[in-house]
Amino acid sequence: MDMRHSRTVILLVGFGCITVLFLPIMGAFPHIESTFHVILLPINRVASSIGSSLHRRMESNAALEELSRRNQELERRVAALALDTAAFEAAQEENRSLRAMTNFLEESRYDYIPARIIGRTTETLDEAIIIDRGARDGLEVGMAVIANEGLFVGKITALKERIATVGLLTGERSRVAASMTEGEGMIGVVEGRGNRVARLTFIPQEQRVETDALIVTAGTEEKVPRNLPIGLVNVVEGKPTDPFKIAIIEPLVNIDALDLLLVLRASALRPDGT
Amino acid sequence: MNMLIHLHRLRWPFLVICGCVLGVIEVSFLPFLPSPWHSLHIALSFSALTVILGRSPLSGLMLAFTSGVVIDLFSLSHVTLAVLRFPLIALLAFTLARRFVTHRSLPSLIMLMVAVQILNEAWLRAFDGIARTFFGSGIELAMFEAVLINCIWSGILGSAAFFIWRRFRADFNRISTEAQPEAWI
Repeated sequence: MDMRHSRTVILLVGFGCITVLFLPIMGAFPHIESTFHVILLPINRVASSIGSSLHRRMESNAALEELSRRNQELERRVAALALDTAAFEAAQEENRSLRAMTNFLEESRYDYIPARIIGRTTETLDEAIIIDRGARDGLEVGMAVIANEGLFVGKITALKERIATVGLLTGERSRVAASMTEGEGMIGVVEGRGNRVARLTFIPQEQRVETDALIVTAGTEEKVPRNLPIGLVNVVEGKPTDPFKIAIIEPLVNIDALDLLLVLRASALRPDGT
Repeated sequence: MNMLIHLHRLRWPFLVICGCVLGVIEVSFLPFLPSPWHSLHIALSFSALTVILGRSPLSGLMLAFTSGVVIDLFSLSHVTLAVLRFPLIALLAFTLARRFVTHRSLPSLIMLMVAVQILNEAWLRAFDGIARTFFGSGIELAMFEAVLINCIWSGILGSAAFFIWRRFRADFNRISTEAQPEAWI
């Protein structure tokens, strides 16, 4: 082994490690990092697109079985709803709310920034995705992220200049104030439990929550507008003696099927101030 | 032979590109695949393999460093520091291979590859413990299934590499003896 050569490479690798460690302290890191992001982001976008399409192909059979199972489950639910006129009225109300929510972007004071998913954290309970927009695009921590139809996906949890992390609704650290479409004000907090599971906690005992009720964002947080659909109530748990009830929520958004997201930004936060 | 020596000069750029590709695959390709593929971490396994089976550990170190840089570039938590973790674990694997376990038999190579994954997990758990003690919140650790999948994947990769390496080892030895020795450093 050529000792001089090997020493040079070890020194270079060591110098690189130390530089990567100390650049953030010197404040130079964001610029260098941003340059690397500019170079690598197009490759990441292509890689994520290929991965995503491959996923869809590999899971097509599994998806058909899942669709069939879900179809049967939905048929049971529809039959139950048809027998109950009160539920029919609730469905009408839900329909009205959904229509309103579909157009909420035009009506609300929010505009949106489209973003592509370029990375995911799947094996931890703190479920998160990485998107190709960052602080330079006007993103801020806490902003709501939705799927194309207006379904609530999660919130921005960390930012760099050109990329950002979105903490998913079902992530273990996710907390979102929630309400019901027909109700007024906040009725509880949707907490992520990992493994694509979320639950609605701190529901007062006097609050009526039924299976299949649509849970939406309460709008009590500064950067999360109200009425973004979160999910449907699956099961309501809790004894009458408990101070609060808990409901298991089935999220409406299927993150595996998504490539593009929208980050909601209040109009007042636009860079041009319009 | 001149062509081989000429190709050798391109080894470092080639390793940097390979490291970047491994990093990009780990950050933006594998996480989109269904289970169990999305849990795989290939950069560390390939780097460790290059360190263990290569003629010089430097190629593996360079691979580990560049893939670590790319992974850290797209990670918003710098606590786990792949840029430091990967080369250090690769070096540990090299020490294990040279001093304690031989890499000349299939079981020992599989053991080494699994040890790399265990070292990686131990590093993350140690950092998690430190972060929880001093900063109040830990890092996100992978679930047990993901660690197990990576150990199995490393074992399979090690086995495959062992057979390929054993098949071509004689050829490599012959070429390297014929070529200028310093060209293979």
